[in-house]
Amino acid sequence: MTHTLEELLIARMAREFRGNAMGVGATILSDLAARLAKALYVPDLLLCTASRAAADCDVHAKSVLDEWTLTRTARIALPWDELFQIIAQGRFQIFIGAVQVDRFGASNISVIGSWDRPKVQLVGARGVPDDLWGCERLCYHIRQHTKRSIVEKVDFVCSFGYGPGRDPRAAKPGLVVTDLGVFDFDADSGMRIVSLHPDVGFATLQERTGFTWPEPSGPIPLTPAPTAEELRVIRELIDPHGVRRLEANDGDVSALDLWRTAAANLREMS
Amino acid sequence: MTLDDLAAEIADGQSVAFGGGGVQRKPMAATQAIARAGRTGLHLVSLLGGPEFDLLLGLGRVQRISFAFVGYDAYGLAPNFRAARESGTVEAVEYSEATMLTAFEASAKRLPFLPTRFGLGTDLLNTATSPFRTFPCPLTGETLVAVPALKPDIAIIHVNFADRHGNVLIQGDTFGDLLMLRAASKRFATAECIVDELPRQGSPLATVVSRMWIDRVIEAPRGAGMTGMFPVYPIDLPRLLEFQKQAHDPDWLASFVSEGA
Repeated sequence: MTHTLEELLIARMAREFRGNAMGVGATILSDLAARLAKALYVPDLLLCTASRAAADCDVHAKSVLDEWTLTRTARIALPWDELFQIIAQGRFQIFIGAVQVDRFGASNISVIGSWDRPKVQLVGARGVPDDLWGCERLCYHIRQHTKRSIVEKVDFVCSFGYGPGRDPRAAKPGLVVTDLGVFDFDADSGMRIVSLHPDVGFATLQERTGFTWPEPSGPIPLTPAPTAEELRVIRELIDPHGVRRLEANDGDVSALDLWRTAAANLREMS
Repeated sequence: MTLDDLAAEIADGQSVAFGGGGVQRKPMAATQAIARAGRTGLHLVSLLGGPEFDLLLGLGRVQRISFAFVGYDAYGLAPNFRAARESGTVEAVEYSEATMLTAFEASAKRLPFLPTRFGLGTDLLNTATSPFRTFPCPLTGETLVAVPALKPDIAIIHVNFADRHGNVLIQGDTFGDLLMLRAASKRFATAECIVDELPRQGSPLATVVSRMWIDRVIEAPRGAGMTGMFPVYPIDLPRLLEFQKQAHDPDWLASFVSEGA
């Protein structure tokens, strides 16, 4: 069955979630991946999308007004102090939408350039320095793999990766999923290629990475295609409205259009 | 009490903490009243800042900001926060989410600091204004982060319901509001609706905040303005995007403020 890159990414990220713990995706595609994982692979995954007041919900169709949808089945409101206790106890899994990830797995969402006088002020470190102390590993969904996003060294360390003096109790840098491929880390040599997506060659990867990759020693595996079952769940159950297209590199929907439809539906329901 | 009375209780140079998160449940009506009252030299505090930061920054009323995040969630960066940081015209203190909650908790317990492991080894500990210090745990010897108490002069949250006693009900995400209220010196809640008594059989997803942590309640229907207020109204996205586009212009902001939330 033919599929889009977004569908491949959702299906690939869904394989990473384990049960009896929280699963959170901070990007649209990784959020859909957590829903797909709960629908097909880990039914006891605790979802907490969009709002802590709509936590531990069933699998629903994604909407730009998620809180309204998810509240229909959400079982708990999760206070934020409890959230960080769950993190501290290693029962939290997350895909972070980092702006930079470096060769040894450090990540940054705070600033580009110097912190004192940033070239670009992003959103601030948010919960990344916290997720670092409790999570088993930190995974990343990088929407655009470029020399500026996959870098030799991050400009500001929101989470650290491997390297000298690393505190072994901190989260390990986990999987990095980009629009070119899937990557993980070796403690000594840094980022490694797990697979490349269809039609992506090593030359393209090198061209769009901010550090030099070692020459591959053999054929590079291909990221597996989503199964027919995964595609059905993505298209019919978790994203019939096509919110995933907001994160397509050749995106043809606008947030405003999706919001208009969702807001109109909300008015109808009330 | 009116929103203008609320603004009158704030002095120039005070620290004002805002509840909500990003573009959800922001006390926008109260923020506009503060802007109208001409308060300046403010220290803005929010776990997850949003358009309330941009409004006061764009009008030149802000000396200092403390935050773990400032942005419009899925809808992009906060333009005036960005401009102020990139031009170096505001003093910034960056926290993570858990360290700011820890700073609130220390203040709530009237402690000088509380220890945490969150943030250890990251550049948050290396910024020019970092309030954090590391220290060896007196019991185990491990290195921990000392997070000093953060005590805002004023805390403002927006809620769904308040009762005549001053208890309030939040139906959506509580973000950092609960610890922020307990940390602050003076606490205000603006409410969509003031009722005689809060419903006794509430949803398990709603949160009650006791009047122990609320000094004054002001009725402010649509008080979250263009930000989302579950379940009453969603984000007004066209208006939010227009604000994001125009926020660099102080004249536009001045007319935005005079229009009300």
